[in-house]
Amino acid sequence: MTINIYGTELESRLLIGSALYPSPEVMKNAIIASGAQVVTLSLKRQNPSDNGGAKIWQYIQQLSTEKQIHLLPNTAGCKSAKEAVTLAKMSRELFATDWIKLEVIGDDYNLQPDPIELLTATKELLAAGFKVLPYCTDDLVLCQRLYDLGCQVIMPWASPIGTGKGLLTPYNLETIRARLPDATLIVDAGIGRPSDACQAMEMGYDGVLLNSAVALADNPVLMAKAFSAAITAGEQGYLAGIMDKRQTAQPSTPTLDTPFWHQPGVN
Amino acid sequence: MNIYINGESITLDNSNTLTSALAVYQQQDNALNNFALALNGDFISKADYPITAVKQGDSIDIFAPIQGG
Repeated sequence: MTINIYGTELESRLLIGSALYPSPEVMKNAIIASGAQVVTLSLKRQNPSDNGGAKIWQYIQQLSTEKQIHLLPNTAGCKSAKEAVTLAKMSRELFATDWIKLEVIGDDYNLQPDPIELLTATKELLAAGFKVLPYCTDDLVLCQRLYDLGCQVIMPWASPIGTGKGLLTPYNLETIRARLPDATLIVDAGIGRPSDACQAMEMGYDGVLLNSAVALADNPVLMAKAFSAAITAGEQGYLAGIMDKRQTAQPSTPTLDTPFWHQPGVN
Repeated sequence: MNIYINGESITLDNSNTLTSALAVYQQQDNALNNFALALNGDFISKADYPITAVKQGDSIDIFAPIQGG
């Protein structure tokens, strides 16, 4: 099964970030090991003395060409719709893509998205021809509003960025999935363990976007493989149909022809 | 007149465009590779640099790719 990003069908349901790795080489190897076909990146004020950013950009360009990886620029650091729209337009020119991971932060403590500014920016960017992938909280009504505006992809958080706390409120994510069956839903932010990603996929989510969980692992390349496997396992589990939980124990071994002294009424 | 590029003060002759302002900036050992920019907070496309005038006190922000999550 493939994931649909505004009409683009991708085999991998893992979207991966390019930040926080111990070195550009490790970043490149981890991205390759993950099998991800979408890599997030960003823009910042150019500092002529910063050559490290140039190396990473060089590697990402190389991956984009050789592995046919799609670039997904973000608007990290923006706190207003105006800032986010300006950054998105710069990203479109620089990265030659109309995909944008739209982030508008409303609180510095937990980096929680600002729903009001997010909706404003989404409306403007969709009108300007962008394919908006909004990063948002796990608020059903906000996700519904984003979908109604025309977002085909919506990315609610599992927990705050970089915390690795996993799915803090599974009920919210399950409800969003149930209420928006036709949207491409990607859990973005807060994933810490491969089992977190698996849990999201078992709910029927279409994909998982993560960065810190791989980049900050002792062995990012191995962790990238672990996440890839976990996402596949979760997806297959969802497709296979997970059994309902039951209140009481039920024997898994057939009781027919069990020894007679275990039958009711026999001492 | 003076303008600002990434917070750095740049002195220009009168009647300048974005293209000439960037040329002066580059002459001051500021290499510009793979960038996009905003003039006073608004995106300006590369095609419009030659026809966009800059005036006293304008602020240009130049952005380049970095890693991101």
